[in-house]
Amino acid sequence: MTQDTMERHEQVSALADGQLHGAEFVRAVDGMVEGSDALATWHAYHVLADVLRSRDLAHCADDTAFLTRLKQRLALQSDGAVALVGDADLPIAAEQQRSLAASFGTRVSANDAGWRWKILAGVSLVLSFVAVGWSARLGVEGRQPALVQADPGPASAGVGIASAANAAGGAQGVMIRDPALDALVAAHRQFGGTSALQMPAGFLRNATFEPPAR
Amino acid sequence: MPAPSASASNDSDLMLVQRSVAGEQRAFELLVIKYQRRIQRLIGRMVRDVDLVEDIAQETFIRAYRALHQFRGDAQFYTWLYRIAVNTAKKFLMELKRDPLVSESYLRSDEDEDETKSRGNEPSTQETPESAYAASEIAAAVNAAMAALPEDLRQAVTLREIEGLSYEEISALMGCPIGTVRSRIFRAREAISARIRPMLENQSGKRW
Repeated sequence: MTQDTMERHEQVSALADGQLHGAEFVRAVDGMVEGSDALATWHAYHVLADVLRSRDLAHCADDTAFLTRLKQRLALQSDGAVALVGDADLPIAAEQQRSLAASFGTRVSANDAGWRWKILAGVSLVLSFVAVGWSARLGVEGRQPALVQADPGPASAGVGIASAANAAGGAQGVMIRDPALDALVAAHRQFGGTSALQMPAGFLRNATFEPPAR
Repeated sequence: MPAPSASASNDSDLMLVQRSVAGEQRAFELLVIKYQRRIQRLIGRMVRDVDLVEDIAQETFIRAYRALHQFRGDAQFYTWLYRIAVNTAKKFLMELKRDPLVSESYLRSDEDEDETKSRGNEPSTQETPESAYAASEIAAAVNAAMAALPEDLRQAVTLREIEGLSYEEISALMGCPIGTVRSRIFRAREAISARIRPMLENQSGKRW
């Protein structure tokens, strides 16, 4: 082994240990071109280091093939430099996607970071707000006439109750009324028409009759 | 087991990452050569099929390459790569489980991602008789070469590779200058690699 080769290998050894900086580092990395002795040395040093730590790591027969295949796949990426400075999670081109899917056998999943899913989630959220708001508004408008007509004046109390019953019946079904109860409530409206808070009750929930105390 | 001199090694990895981000793919390839066996072993703990292990390892490095600019050097490069590998393998396994045609034999039942857990003598599809023999030959050659080393070289390389000490710590322990530590570690590596390089070249059938 020549002195020059020895020096190169020593540089590789120091590089593996993180002992090279600045120009020395650049020179050592630049020396590791494909097919070079320095690259084979780099591989051998790391294999022996791995094997010293764990016998499991002695499986290295396909290391060269692995790297060759990886380089081919990286070359498939449209532009390596562009891919590096771009966002790693950006959607890749359809061609690359097909290529990756063919070799990797996966589909894009719903939890992948990607603008399509974000847009879909945003649209779904807006639609759900619109749907909830619309149904709430319809409900308020549907109930309004019944509330208004449920507080009739004294002269038309019986008619008002009947109207409320009709209005409510239109939307919620027919309310069965007892004419005797209506007459009783009309005669004793002071007990049934106003709540304890002196506010209109809106509609009659119940009616009671208490005989005068002895 | 500690990582070999974490800070210096991480500095070196960070510099290689920076050069990769600057567009030098060769620097990234050095990182691949350094870590591919550990990544493949990690994935091999989760997936049985050797072809799937390689596919997932390939995907791991491609994802890492595309995300290199996000690596800031706060953690060790291998720690960062480890998470990518585990996430890639998990995603891959989820896809496989959704596929009714995929046999359970592709998957490891425990899906253990702990690379420190030993499988013992459990057979693996990664180990064909030929590859198992070749691996045992390499391991035997490394051990024989270590045993044949002079004491000072063996101690230096053991402290470095197995104990994970920095040059400064080894220098203090061995009572010699850092330059001597560097030289001893290099000579030890040369002696061991002289034994295994012919095997590596025969196995791969191709020179680097």
